[in-house]
Amino acid sequence: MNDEALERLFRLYHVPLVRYLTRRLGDRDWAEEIAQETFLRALRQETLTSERSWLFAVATNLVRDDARKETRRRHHLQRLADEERGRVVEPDTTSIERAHERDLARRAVDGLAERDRLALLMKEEGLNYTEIAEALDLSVGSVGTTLARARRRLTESYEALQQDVALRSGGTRGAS
Amino acid sequence: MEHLDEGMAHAWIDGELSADDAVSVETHLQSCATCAAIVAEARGLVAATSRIVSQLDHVSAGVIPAAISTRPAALRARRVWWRHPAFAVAAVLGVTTMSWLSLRSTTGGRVATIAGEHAPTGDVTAAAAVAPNASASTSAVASPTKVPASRARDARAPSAGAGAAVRPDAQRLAVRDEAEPTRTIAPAASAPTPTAPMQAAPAAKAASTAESPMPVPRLLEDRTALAANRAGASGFTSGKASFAASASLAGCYVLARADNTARSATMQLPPRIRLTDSVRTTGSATATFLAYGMRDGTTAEIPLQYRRVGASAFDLSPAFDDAVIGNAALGEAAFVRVLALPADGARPTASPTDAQFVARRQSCP
Repeated sequence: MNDEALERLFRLYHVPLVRYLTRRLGDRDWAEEIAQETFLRALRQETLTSERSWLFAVATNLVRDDARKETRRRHHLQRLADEERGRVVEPDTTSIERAHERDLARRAVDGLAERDRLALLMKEEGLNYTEIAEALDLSVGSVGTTLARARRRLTESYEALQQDVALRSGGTRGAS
Repeated sequence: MEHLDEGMAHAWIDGELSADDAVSVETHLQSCATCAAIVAEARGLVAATSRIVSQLDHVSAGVIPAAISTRPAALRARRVWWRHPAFAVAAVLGVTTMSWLSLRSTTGGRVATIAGEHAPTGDVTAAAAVAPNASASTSAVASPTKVPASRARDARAPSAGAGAAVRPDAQRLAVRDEAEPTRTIAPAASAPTPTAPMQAAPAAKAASTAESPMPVPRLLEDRTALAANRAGASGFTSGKASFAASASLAGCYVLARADNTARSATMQLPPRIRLTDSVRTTGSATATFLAYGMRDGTTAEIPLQYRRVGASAFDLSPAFDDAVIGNAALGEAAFVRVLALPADGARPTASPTDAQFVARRQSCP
């Protein structure tokens, strides 16, 4: 692939790919790294037929490989980063609420089965059923069912987490 | 045709069925309440999913300008609206009302004026706001071609009868903002340019030029800031919508992503609306606020219930302060708001508002 083709590919897909990876990983820097590596691999390809599904598939595989190698170290670094952010930033109420919502969303998304989660996040980035099927090695016919299951479980999980938090905060108030 | 399974319902919503299959599904939905309910639930799940996933997007502290006001806590609270049992009531009201409006639109309707009014706790004011350009603020959209089957947002609100085509552009209310003074121009995201021929109601057009720009609810500004942040970081752009002359009645935004078929729009509604003209208000204790998706197969209907609190005032039911419209269509997203005021029995005496917006899909980066 020449530079011109890569540039076109980058312009088209870098943003959605990074967003997909960020949502997948919860780490923007990590997502950028994976995306960069993905595009570098694309550069080594002569041609890409289903370029979007190829990019998302490669990025997903890179995440898997990367995660296996570095899970523990990254978690540790992430904790340190979170602590540091909490130490230097004085978040306002809105920030806290948004962070809280993000945490709930993260827990709900992480609670999904891997295939469901990836299909869902790819769909949110606009991949069609054929592309999702190619990226995840599924049959096209099963994508609808996969997404239906993922959406239901995500929604129910998120709702349950909200209720759990509400119950706990209610209990705290009642105890005080 | 056999009943839909959940996967097919989602595939239909996602626009992934073949043309023949899609027609079969649409036909079936018009006569099958069970499947209409499945689709309605699926729509709720699709919209909820987009909303939950979008919360994963990281926003660094400090990117939102401090001058922007804070939404009242009651409005900030996230409700699990797609499961709210009261929604079924609202959905039924909406369907009934819109069916009537559909008929009425062919005979012409009254033009009235309503004004947005903030309740004491319903503050959405602050320094930052949007002054949509004239074309955007008076934009109109083409008449809806169809609203297939059930579009209610709630899982348990089958509304197979809602498929009746609605022509809200045939009856419009000019709306006026009483609450907001002149505002500054919002940074970053620009109002999308409507591509449909514009033909706003004269009253609405006058209002849009004479009155102050609409206030922008916090959520919209957050999104603007988010978009600006992303744009700086990686070229992300976000479509932002404005209401036609709707002033304080509501704010909307649309997240538009390149080649993304799953977009969403959130409407924030005023806590109180007050009628200011001769609209008869002796009837029902409730008014129904309807948001309709239009064009390019956009499909969304959100009946939201207002409760009468006086001779001419309605308060938004606490259960419905925030709603998400799922838009599973390609191309532009366009939504029309309609305020239906039942009176003298079950029939609304006021025409729908003109309020509507067009959000053009953005290309990324």
